Amino acid sequence: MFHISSNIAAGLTLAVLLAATAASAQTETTNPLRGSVDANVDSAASIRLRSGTGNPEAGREKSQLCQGCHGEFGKSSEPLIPSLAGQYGNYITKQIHNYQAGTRSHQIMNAMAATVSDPDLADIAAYFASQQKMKGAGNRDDALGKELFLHGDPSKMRLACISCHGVKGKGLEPKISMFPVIGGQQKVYIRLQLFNFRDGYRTNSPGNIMNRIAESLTDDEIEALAEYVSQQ
Amino acid sequence: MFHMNNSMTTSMALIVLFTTAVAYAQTDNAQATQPRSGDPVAGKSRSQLCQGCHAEDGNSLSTLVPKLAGQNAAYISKQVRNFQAGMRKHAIMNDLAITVNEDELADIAAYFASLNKMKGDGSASNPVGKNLFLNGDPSRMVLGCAYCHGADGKGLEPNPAMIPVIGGQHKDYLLRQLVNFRKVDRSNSPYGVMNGITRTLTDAELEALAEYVSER
Repeated sequence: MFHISSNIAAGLTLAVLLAATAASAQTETTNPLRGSVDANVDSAASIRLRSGTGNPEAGREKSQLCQGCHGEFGKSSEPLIPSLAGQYGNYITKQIHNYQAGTRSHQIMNAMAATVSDPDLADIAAYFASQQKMKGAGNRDDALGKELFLHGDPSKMRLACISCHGVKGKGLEPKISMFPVIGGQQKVYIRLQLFNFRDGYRTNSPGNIMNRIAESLTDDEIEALAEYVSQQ
Repeated sequence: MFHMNNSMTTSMALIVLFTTAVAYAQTDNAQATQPRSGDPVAGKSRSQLCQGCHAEDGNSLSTLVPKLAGQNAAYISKQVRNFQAGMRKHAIMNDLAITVNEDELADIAAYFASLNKMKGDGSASNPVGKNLFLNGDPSRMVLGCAYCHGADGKGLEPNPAMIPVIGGQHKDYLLRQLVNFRKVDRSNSPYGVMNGITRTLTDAELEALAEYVSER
């Protein structure tokens, strides 16, 4: 029988603690792919990268019908209509394809989407993507929403939003178009999408990841998230 | 009953850690050599989220996101398990890894493994990197990379779970991993071999290696 010195015990405890905390080390201003600066800003290079292959000038003309609801510069003034300003071109294209195929459902958008050809769609997407990125008022900071956004709770399958949507929800990187810009989006629109994901009315996220994440969120948590994200 | 002195304590700790590491490696290796063989077709749809950053063809655009095109399936699976267990750390990957189960992982890994293998531009602009890659520096316990990673870093049988394809990988990613191994911020290589090898390498040597390997 023997005693093990306390420094082994201390070392083991420390190792366990480190392993437990390292996974959730996220800060408000750190992009894990880029370092401590938000790289996804409105520089000419990042606008070009997020716009995709279309021609934004041509898209301006072709998107007049879209502008009727989404705003001339993609800044919607209707709470239930999403802003498209600075959204990834490829993300817009994917949503329209999903509306065309019926894998995303909306009474108006299913009908509208059916009228667009792929070449026109690329131009329209590029037009909205090239606009100055949507931005929230930034005058409130919901504590619960912020905590969920930055850290989530992976043990309950609530991944931190920042992991995929980037610092302040502005996108992970200009080159990575799968994860939409959500920071500064209409609050009511965000809330509705989270409800729709939670309740299974919207199922077009990659690997249904949004359904799995939203499953455990309460109404209050969804409200807090929508509040925090829309303010960014 | 007896008390141990400090050096004994340290040795004990090392033995405990080493035994644990060996046990883990064996477990892991056993899993890796007898996996359910994944289905790359199913893996393509199951890996949609992965493709967001690693790209549909496995050749990621972001230079800090590793290419997975033609990577060994067993190596991909091991890394994802290590991310799940917190043995390898990355703010995004620790979170995303827990969303896949073993069944999905087998298909996802098979999908990326089935893609055309990652490839650099074929130049050899860095003689320092080339020499270290091929010959290492035995006086410093630096093994030549080709010894395990194969000619041009394209992988070496028969231990694909432990030894990744590195030739043609992004330079920025390779450099980050080499630095992390040297700092022991990453310590999930078999028996810590990558930590031992990188320990004495200078910043300039790591840079040279990353450059040469990325061009393969």
